[in-house]
Amino acid sequence: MTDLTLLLDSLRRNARVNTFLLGALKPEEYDLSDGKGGQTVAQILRHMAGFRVGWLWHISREDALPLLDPTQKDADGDPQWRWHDRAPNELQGAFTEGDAAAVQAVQTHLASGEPFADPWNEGTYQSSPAHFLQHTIVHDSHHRGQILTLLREGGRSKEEMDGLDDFWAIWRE
Amino acid sequence: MTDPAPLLEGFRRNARLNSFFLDELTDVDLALSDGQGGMTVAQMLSHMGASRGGWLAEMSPEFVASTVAITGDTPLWQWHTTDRAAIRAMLDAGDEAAVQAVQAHLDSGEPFADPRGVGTFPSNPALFLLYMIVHDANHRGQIVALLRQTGATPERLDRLEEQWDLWRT
Repeated sequence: MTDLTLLLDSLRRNARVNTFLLGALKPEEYDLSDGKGGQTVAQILRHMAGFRVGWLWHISREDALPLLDPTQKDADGDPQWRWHDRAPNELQGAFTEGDAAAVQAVQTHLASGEPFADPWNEGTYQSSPAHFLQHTIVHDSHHRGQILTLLREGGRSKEEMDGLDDFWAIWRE
Repeated sequence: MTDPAPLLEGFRRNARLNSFFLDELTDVDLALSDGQGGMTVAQMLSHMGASRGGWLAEMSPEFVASTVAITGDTPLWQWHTTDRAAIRAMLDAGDEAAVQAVQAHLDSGEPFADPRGVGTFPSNPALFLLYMIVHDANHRGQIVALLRQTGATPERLDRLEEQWDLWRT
């Protein structure tokens, strides 16, 4: 069976980097965008956190349930994500609980040997459920890079941007 | 010892994505920047490639020769080019050197050197591969954002979105 040790360690580091970034953002920066139709910082954060529940809903539905409010429905008539209307500075819980649900899903499927559901026949993590964790980390990194660009373009000084680079040290521990 | 296999597989996927980006980006794309002091696309890709050798030069210098052969007299961290073939060669050489260095240090049990005391993966040398994966993803995200800001068509952006398919296999 896949040894998850390094991937779980990786996901924990990723969570710390997300926490670092959430803590570094100034309230006025949530609305930054490129002014050309791109997502705002708040929208990117919501998209990152929502990635977990969005995929779990399709590949391992029961593991998505802790992230959902069954008393409310979204536009598709599915249970509403618990953070769908939360302010961007309230998304820490969405990341933390989303990560926990993702780990639970991967561990359950690795233990049972049952692959994730693949509703669109696109091979969703069929080689190993563990790849869902790597995908989550890479997806977050991709969008953190975009947030950093928006912060720089939004007026952060070079010194402030250098300070944000401190999060890379978490990956080098 | 923990099994580095999942990270090695992730690193191979990351290499395929970098290659996919180099295939997709035109010379015009490579020259794009935000005009506000940010790196051009070519500079970001060069920086991604050179970062392997840049770290190996401190951590495990015996594995740096193949990347220094490309940069010549230019310090690794300052190296950049608009030559797509050179960027590709740097990424390929850096990837191979990174895997060899990680494998050698895992085999010997010797941690990477840390001459500046900045942290060089003391908990497990294999995490250098993760570092390159997340570092590349960070900059690919910025490249996609730059393309969108500068007017890339929805079709082109959709095509770049296909990168995510690889992580779901």
